[in-house]
Amino acid sequence: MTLQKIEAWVTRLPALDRDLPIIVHNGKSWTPNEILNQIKSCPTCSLSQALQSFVEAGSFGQEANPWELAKQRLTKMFQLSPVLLHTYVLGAPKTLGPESIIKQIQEETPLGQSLIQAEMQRMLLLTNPPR
Amino acid sequence: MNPYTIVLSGGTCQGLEYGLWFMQRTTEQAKKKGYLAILTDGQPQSIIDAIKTTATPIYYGCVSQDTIIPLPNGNIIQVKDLNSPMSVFSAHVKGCLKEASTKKKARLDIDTCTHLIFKGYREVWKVKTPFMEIEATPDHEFFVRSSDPKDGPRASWKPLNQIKVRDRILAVTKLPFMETINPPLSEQQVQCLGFYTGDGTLYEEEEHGAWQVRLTDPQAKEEYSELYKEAFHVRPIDKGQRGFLICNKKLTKLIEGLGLNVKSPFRDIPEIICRSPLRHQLAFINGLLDSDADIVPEQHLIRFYSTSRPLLAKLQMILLRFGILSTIYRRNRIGEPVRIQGKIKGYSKYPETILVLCGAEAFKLAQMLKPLNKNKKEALKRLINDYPKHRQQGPEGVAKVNEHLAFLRVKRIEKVGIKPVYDLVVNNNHNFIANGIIVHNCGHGACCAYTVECTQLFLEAGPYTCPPVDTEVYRCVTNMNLDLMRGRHVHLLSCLTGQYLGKELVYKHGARSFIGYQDLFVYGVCLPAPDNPNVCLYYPQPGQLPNEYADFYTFMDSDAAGEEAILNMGTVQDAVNAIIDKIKSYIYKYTYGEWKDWSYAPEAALVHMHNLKALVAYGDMNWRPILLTSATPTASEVAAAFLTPFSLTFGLLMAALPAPPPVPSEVKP
Repeated sequence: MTLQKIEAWVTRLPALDRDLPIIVHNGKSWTPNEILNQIKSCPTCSLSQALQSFVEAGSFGQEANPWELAKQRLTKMFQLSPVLLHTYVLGAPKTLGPESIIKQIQEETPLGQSLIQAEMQRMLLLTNPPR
Repeated sequence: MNPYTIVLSGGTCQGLEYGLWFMQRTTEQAKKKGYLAILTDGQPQSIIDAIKTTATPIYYGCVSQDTIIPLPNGNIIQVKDLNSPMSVFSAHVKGCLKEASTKKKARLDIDTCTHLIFKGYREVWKVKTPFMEIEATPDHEFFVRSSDPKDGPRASWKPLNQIKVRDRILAVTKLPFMETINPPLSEQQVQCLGFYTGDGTLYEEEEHGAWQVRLTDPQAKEEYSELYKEAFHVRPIDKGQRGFLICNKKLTKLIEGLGLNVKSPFRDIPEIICRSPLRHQLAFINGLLDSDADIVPEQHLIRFYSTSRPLLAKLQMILLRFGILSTIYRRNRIGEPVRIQGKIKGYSKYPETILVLCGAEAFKLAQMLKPLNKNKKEALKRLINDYPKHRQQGPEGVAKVNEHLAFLRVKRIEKVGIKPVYDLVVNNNHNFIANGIIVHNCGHGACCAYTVECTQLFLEAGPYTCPPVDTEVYRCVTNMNLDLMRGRHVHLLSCLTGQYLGKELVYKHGARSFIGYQDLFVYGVCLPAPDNPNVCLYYPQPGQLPNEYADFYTFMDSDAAGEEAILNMGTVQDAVNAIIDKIKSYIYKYTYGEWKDWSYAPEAALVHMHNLKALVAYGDMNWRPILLTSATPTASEVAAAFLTPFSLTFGLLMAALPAPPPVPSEVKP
């Protein structure tokens, strides 16, 4: 994959997703923007090559634990862009704020687990964009 | 149940506006296909209209954030400070709708406010009566007796934009008061605080580094100096024309604790005073009268002045507890000259307001008050003596209903501008008292979701306090005629209904198919308001397309796609596929499409993914709930195909074909 293709991949992602970790390599989580900067700064380095190959393969990296990566992404996502979620149980409406959502994700409550699983699905969509 | 009668549902729950839009949309689709007129037995009526007649009306506006709400616990607060759930006063007027007179039926009640919702910034109008006034959105409803003889004597709920000057609106003339606390302060202490609220300041004395209470009114100096001595065991220091000074830590702490250590425009009547017994409240009024009020015996007037409108608004509610009606006017805007006895004495730094009691109301209060200021004492005496006895009956323009309620004539309605507004949800009577006026609750009605044929209840959700987890949700469903669903297709949007209720409907109660959600269903995503992170920065109108601040549309729209598939004579599986396809299309839009750069785009895509995972369906997936045999069906064919459609807020229950026989009851040995 050429640098242009990596750039195109990053540009296609939602703005916030460019700053959320997507690949784990060498014990570090890499965001799309960090990956792009690394490849730009040193295209021939082995690190850049490795990152490039992960992007090309649509993988989160060999060291990645998708569950933990999704948790990490969700925590950062709701910190960077706090939102309110409106949910509804028969007769019991509830507004979930960013702090409460982060707590549910950290504690892996049923909702937290469901969001982590949904985020894992979304990560696949981000690393394997439709053509 | 007549199988050819449409059964329309009325859900009156939170999130209703968005749920109703979903139902409205499905109704419109049915209407386009020519089904609706037949379904409603020759009386075309939308599901929404039916809900309005059979369930509690819903589309109501809101009141502006500084509206004063008196609470049964004695406190008086602005609507924005309300915590829910909380008890509020409401009026029982249900029976009055069909009655020529409200006398027998109307009464004041204590009700529960289950929700307070910030509804953003909206246009508000002010409606003024000879006494109270209130700011509300034009669609907010009031209980009105029309001035037009054509309308007859019947009173009914009317939105503000349909109310005319000279109509009469229901208001409170006497607020009940129950003692709920043991007063921690004596009457004398409260009177001292009333005097301080009007004329006192708390400031740090530089020389000694001590906080001092300074009271600047020279007129009642001696009397209040003595009262402070007795009440707080302090030694006031005489400062001549500048009043007197008190250096006392305990008093300073008390004033700070009550929140009175602020400048006069920001002062308020402390909660502890509002909740103390009536004699204490009267003592506080005595203190205020001695500091910031005047009495004009010749004109039968008592006037309280303040730069704090909330203070006077609370005073107005306290006076209502004594059955005394008063009016608040604006006296000065910022920068306008302040005139005392016709002479300009300065220019106002803050807008000034004035609370006026005139005629019979001033007479009533005068009989209760015991000021310390000699001049005011004398003036009150003159007011009482000079007031003509034949005018002691009560004010004009007030049509009494009973001891507590009366219809007040609307004097003026004017547009105010855009203001932050709040939405209140009241459980039983669906109304509450705001600024002393009965207003309809802004949100939905009772805490239930139900389906009705006239009043037949299908399903009622429990109180809002029910824990929203696991089996508790199912237990919350308090009234279940679930066997009514035998042979039908059921589609419920509410969270967790797929988990237990859906399964039971199919496997125990004989529903033929079910679509629902087995996890929390997220129906809206929004950015939080900067000043209140618990409310949305922007609440879209139902059906409004997503924008960069919020999206409540795509979540309802996805499920509506399922209804559309069924209306197009698809199978239940077709409906499920349509919902899945729609959700996926929105995930794409938020990830790679036109909405991807909105700041909440990843979260919106995430919760769509989550909803997708939570979507479940049970039962016979290959049957078609609506099956018409010809392309141009006759009325009877459509009726036969539809039979008994049900719908619920956040869900739509549609008919099976044909209606099944009743379930035989179990024979016990």
